[in-house]
Amino acid sequence: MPYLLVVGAVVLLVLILAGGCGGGGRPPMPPNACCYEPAGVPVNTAYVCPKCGQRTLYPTGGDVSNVDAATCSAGMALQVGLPACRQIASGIRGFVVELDESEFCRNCSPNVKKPQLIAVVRGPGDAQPRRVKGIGQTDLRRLQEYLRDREKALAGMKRDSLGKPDPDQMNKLRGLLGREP
Amino acid sequence: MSDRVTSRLAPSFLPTTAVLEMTYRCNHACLFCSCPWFASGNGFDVREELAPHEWQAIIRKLCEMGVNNFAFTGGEPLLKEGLEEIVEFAAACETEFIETQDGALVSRRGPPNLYLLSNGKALRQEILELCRKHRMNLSLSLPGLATFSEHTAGGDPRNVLRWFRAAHAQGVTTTVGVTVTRKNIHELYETIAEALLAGADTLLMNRFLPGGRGIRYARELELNVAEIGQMLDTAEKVLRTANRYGSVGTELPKCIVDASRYERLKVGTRCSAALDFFVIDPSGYVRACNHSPVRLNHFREIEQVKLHPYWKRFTQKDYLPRSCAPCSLAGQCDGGCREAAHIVGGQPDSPDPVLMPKA
Repeated sequence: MPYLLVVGAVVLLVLILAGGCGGGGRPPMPPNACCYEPAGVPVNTAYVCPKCGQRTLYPTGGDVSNVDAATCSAGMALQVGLPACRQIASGIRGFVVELDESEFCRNCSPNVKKPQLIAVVRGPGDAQPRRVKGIGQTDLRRLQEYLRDREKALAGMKRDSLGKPDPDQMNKLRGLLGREP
Repeated sequence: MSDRVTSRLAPSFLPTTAVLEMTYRCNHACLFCSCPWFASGNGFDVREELAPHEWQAIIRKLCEMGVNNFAFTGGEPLLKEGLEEIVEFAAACETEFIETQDGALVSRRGPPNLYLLSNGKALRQEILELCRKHRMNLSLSLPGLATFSEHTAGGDPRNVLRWFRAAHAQGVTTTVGVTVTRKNIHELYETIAEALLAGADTLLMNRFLPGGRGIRYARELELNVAEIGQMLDTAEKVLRTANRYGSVGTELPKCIVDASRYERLKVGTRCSAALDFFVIDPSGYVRACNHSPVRLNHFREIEQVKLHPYWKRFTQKDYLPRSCAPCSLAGQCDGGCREAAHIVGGQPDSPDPVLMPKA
């Protein structure tokens, strides 16, 4: 393949000499894969409601660690946190955990100012499911871990200077379990 | 500060990018082509094409529905009668852009962004002028140099390179589109480099994925995991040398690629079909992705698309393969291309073809 060898050598040399021939700065890059370039850089984050199919837009950026009252307006929390919550919820064994995302949809919940994720939880023997508001990845992970290994989950909780578990974390876990941990 | 908008309904349920397949016709016969109408036995029939005035009506409606970007493709879009009038019409429309500024959403109005994707064979100076006039990005396909003719069934890469040079000289921004196959990966470095030297501004690289005519040639063209790594490394190397940037169009499973290794090449692991873009085929039917052989509703019934079960599988990402469910990366990955998985495996939640056991 002499043609290719010659072309390759010439091309490499010219590219190095040209130093990029005016490449400039980084152009907008697609966040997700798209066979077509115009996917572009994300200018907002869209939440698509599974019930009504409408799109609610949120600003991009923000804390990706959780989806709760403090971070719900952050687009990245929706983009990263919500899929993670869905994945964790679907993997919980021993309890049935469904997520009510309706507050994130401005069509379904037009008056909600600070949307929160709601866990709808039903344990063995529960007559009715419980609705626990303001749930995030860490809460769901803790429930999952508790149902696997109670002692390990409790030992891993944040504690105050007196060694008592963080009251917010305990309240969430209590709500999800429907009883004292 | 109370006026800061931190959430709002979008103008419609549609993503902001519409891929408009102008025509079924093409003047190449690429081995790797994924257009579903070139496959046999998938039930995707060629129907009557929309007339230019029908495309204009659709574009007007899409602008009202908040679509910001139009990509004109095909088939080969330059074979569509009235394409120039359609582009002129789109450029004269106005749409709403909703963007983030300082943590809040702001709205502005303006003409949509336009993109033209062509193989270059029927390109004319008038089209370049149209691109320049409307700041329409021109993407030209270059699937190899020595292998170009074999891949395209008779094309000439010198024609594509010539148009890159002409576009560059006239201030038209361009993208080189490279579909990488087992037949052309050995000359990938030279292919990308030649295009950049000819003036292409950015790279859009796709690995070959079975679909359309390509199904027939899948065994000969499909890359394995090691070759995909080689493809990414090669592209990164050229882009670094040339001080340019590029992206990989088709999403990859996160378990086979360390995207953080690439500075110049954006490697995606999430599917954006029905979320960031959607397709309208030459007869006016909506599809979730250009790879997809599944026609949803006709544009006349556009409002019904949002609750179509197939559309919802993509908007809700209800397509992760069972084998991926326990994976700790699942929250950041869709397990590769869901439409190629559908085509090869029969369901959107089948494994990506690269992860399927080979006979």
